[in-house]
Amino acid sequence: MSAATAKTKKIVLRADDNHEFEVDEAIAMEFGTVRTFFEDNPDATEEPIPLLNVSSKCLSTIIEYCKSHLAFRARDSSSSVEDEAKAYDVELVKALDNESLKEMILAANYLNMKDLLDMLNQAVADRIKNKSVEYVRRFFGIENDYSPEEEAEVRAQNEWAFEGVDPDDD
Amino acid sequence: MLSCSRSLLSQTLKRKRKAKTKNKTKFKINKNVSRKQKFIAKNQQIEEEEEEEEEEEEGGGGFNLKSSAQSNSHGVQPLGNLYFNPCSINSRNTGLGNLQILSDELVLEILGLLEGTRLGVLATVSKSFYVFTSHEPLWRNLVLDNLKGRFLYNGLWKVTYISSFYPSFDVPRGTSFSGLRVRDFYSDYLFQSWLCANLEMKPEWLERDNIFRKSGISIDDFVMNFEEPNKPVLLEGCMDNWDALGKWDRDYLVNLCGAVQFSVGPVKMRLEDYFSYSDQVKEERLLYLFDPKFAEKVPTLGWGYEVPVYFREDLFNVLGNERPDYRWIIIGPAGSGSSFHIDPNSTSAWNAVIRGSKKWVLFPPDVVPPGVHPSPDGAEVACPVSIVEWFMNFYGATKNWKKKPIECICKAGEVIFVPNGWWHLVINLEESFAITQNYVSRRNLLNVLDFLKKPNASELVSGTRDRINLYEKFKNAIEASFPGTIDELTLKAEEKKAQQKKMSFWDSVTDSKVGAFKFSF
Repeated sequence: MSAATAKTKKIVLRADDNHEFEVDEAIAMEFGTVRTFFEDNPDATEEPIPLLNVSSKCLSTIIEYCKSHLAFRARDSSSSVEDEAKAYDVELVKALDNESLKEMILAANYLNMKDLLDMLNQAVADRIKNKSVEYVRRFFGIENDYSPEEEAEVRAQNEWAFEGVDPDDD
Repeated sequence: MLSCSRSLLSQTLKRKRKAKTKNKTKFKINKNVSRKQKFIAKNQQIEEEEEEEEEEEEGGGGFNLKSSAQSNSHGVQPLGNLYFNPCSINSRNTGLGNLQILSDELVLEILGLLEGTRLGVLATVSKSFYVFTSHEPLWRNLVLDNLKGRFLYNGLWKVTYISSFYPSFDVPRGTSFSGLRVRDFYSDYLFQSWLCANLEMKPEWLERDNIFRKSGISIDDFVMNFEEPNKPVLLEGCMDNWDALGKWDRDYLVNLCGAVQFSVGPVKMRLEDYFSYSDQVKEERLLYLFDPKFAEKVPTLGWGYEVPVYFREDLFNVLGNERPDYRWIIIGPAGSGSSFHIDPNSTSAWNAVIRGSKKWVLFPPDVVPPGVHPSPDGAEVACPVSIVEWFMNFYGATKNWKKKPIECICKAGEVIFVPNGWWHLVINLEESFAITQNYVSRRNLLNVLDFLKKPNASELVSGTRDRINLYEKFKNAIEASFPGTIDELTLKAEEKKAQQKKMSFWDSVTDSKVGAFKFSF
């Protein structure tokens, strides 16, 4: 066992561009893949952990996310703190454009961070809720590969879903 | 469910086989492949009929599709096919736009957060979205979440959803719902999903039968040769006086049970509705009727059977109504079953088939089955693959193992004994009705007590709401009804351990291999 010191242990995480981030152990343990790594290699805490699939930008956002949520949890589990945590998440997601949101999802998936991933997935789902088909195509840069006949056929099959939905309601 | 590419499957379907009535697909699957790895499918083999038979014997061989396999026209192909069409684009990607870099699982997770109407609208965005939003498990979740067990299955989960919530909408009915055909859509995850839903059990997976079979043995014989040494056995002839054996068929059960709700996966359903589902459905992880309160709900069911003589000593009885769940009625169609697990609370079990037949694969407690990943504390077992997928990807590995599994097919009238701690997997080969019970005899009383005593009992103990106190309750109840038993058994166990230690010491002393001279000329 490593000797316990008065200071909290620090762990170094290295992003894909070799930029290094030093964080408290508690934060690093929020990363599922890092936690698993340490469970299997308890003495390897001195080396920087390479996170090959995570950009610096994502990593710094994720670290902030962990710091904030750890702080929320440390306070208490009252509903007002929960609301604050949710508000934090909403703000975090608002600041992400599509590209960044997507990158964050991949990072959260790679790092095996379920809560973050769920939250981000929900954010994407929210972005395509209640939007027209055209909007969704523009939003994600999707090419419409239906022929007019095919599109009509699929639309007819799913007409039930369009009830009450204004087709080009943005 | 999505079908494999029409160009591959329909040609295969048309071709006449020599003596074969089953459809064989032309996919060579790499050994040790998991859902995330790529399939290499040989599109071009279609033209090379002569070499078919030999080629099928290498590698994974062909697959038998159910003769009722849906060939509805979605057209998903495995990723490997993409490599044979160098100019091909993957319409999966172009149709997802900048979501394309997400894995199939992530895309489906996101879609899983949306309501039915959203999915219906998104289907018109692009062909890729069409394929993804048609993924049946999405619709199954929507139906089960919203209707619980009150659904009337209608060919497909999506159709079931629409006809339940939009009854005035004229939905194409039945499994011949022909959707759009999509070209150039390559996805391992979606293809594998379809494949497993439509695969039949291959004959070679059913060949091995190496369990001991006994008929009419004495209780002492059973205890000494199987229960005590913790070995599985298949017992014949102990259901002969069961009312259920001659009586239980579909009509009888449906009439008897009427509107009673039985536990089916996450929901509760009427038996008749369950049969309606099981007759029509084609999916990878079938809903399975598994009810621990069947005798309370319909007492006549409880009277239809008797615990075989070998298993009548059941010490959990001392807890009366507070004992954990211990008996289940099990009903399910061909393909339903349970993937690898160990029974809870360290109990032993017996499973009697009243109608139908079940394939069993068992591994002893110290041998983790291939493809299964128990967490270190035993609280979770990750078996990421479905039953059929396990057979496809991992069964072959057991052929060359020294510690082969015990396998058998248990038919109507037969009872299998599953010793405590043994891993087991079960798949119904046809629609089956069975009864199973878990029990504790003096032979595994100490094991059970140890298990219940564990610090993480709250996670591990199952079948009761009172997990943490079960140990105390049980121990006290045993002491009350059978005073001194626990101490007696503990003493015996310690004696046995001491003897075993002694034996191995003597073994090592007399063993000529250890420490003796070795002459070599």
